[in-house]
Amino acid sequence: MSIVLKKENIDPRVKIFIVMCISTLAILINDIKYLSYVLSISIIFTVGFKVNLYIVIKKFKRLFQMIFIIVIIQSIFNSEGAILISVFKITLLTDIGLIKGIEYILRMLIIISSALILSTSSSVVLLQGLIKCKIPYELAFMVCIGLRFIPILSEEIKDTFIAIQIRGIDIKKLKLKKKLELVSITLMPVVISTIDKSKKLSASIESRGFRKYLTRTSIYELKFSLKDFILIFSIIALSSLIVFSYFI
Amino acid sequence: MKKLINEKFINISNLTFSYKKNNLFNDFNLSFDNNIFTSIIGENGSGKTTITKLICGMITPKNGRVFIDNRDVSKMSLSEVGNIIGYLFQNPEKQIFGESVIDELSFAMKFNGISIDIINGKVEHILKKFDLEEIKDQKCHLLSHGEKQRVALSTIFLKNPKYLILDEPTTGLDVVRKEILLELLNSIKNDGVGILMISHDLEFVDKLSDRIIMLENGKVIKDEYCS
Repeated sequence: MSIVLKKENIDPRVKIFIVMCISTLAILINDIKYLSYVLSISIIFTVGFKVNLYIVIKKFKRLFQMIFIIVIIQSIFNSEGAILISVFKITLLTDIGLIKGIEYILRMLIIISSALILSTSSSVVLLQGLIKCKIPYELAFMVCIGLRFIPILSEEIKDTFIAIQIRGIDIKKLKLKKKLELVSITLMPVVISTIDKSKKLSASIESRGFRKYLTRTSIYELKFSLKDFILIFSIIALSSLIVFSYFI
Repeated sequence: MKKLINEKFINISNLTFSYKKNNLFNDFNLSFDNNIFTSIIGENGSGKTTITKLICGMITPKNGRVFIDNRDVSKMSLSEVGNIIGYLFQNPEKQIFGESVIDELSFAMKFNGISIDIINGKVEHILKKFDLEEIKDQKCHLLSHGEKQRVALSTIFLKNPKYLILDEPTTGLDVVRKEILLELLNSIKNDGVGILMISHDLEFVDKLSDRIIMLENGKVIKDEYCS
């Protein structure tokens, strides 16, 4: 018996293809204007796949702050190009530094927003999609398990910092050196517990007969629908348009 | 000085909280006295752990307020709450960070800039009080569940908390370890520290509690003081 995915669901292979196209464009292109186009395409697809961007922005607030800090540092340490800001003959910001910083932000936003498309499929369906793309089962399985572990790890880190603060340590008031020391100490239990969880998971998988048979079947059957073909066609058309206008 | 709200140590006032779209607490009110042992019992998902997390400010309510010793929790940092309330997680591993038992006991004090002499004195006292002297140099990750729990509980007592919250402390403990924990909690109770315990172990609850609260789907369905 197999379950054909509901018609309104987009085939995971299409999602993988879209993410592949968008992220490849983000790496190949070195131009703010074209990167903005790619970001717009990525956001349109992300919203189209019903990803709640407001929740994502709220969740990734810290990450965005970190990206912004990296951009500032990267821009400051870039000495190429015309000087925009300087203090006592020390160059703080150049036009090329600024451009590179903006490009970095756009690239990161493209990668994050396109990767969100994959989060709209369950790991089981995504796994099936990867297998159909001829990715070896073990490798595809590892990717899906890895994706499954990201929220667990993030929850674990959050819990650890709550546990530290509830012990009376005010992290905000600590000096940078102490903060770094605290992070290095506390990350160890998180890593150990994650390794422990993965060991338990692998034991549980093995005990349920993983790799007992050479070929594996799945309860999910993937079939391309008209919607899928339209999406594939539109991403190919959009990507080609950007590639041609950028390179030629 | 006249207290502003009332004489209860912990006050939960008109609290509303939901997990995504599941409304768990709606206009919920409850208060806890200091110096008495209160237990919360109820089915899984009834809101027992959630209520303790809301008390400590680990999660934020949609509406309503929580007061600890007449101070609004929403205006306090987690570390400030932690200095008043000692929280024992269901899984003690979550709150153990030191390599050895001694490292673990001095962990928070070191980061709070307390001098080595004071740390040593306090650690020595706690090692004796919680009967941890034999395992003081052992690696924390090699300890048994019961020992880890005793270590976690002892670290809480280094700050002399006014109140203690225990989230299912009997989980994974055998009969002997339960008896040891029972004695320990009894002595803490006799020292005048208020305790709020969440538990499924009704026998354990019955032996210790002065007040038992039963929760069901975020509502108090029974609240009794034991004689």
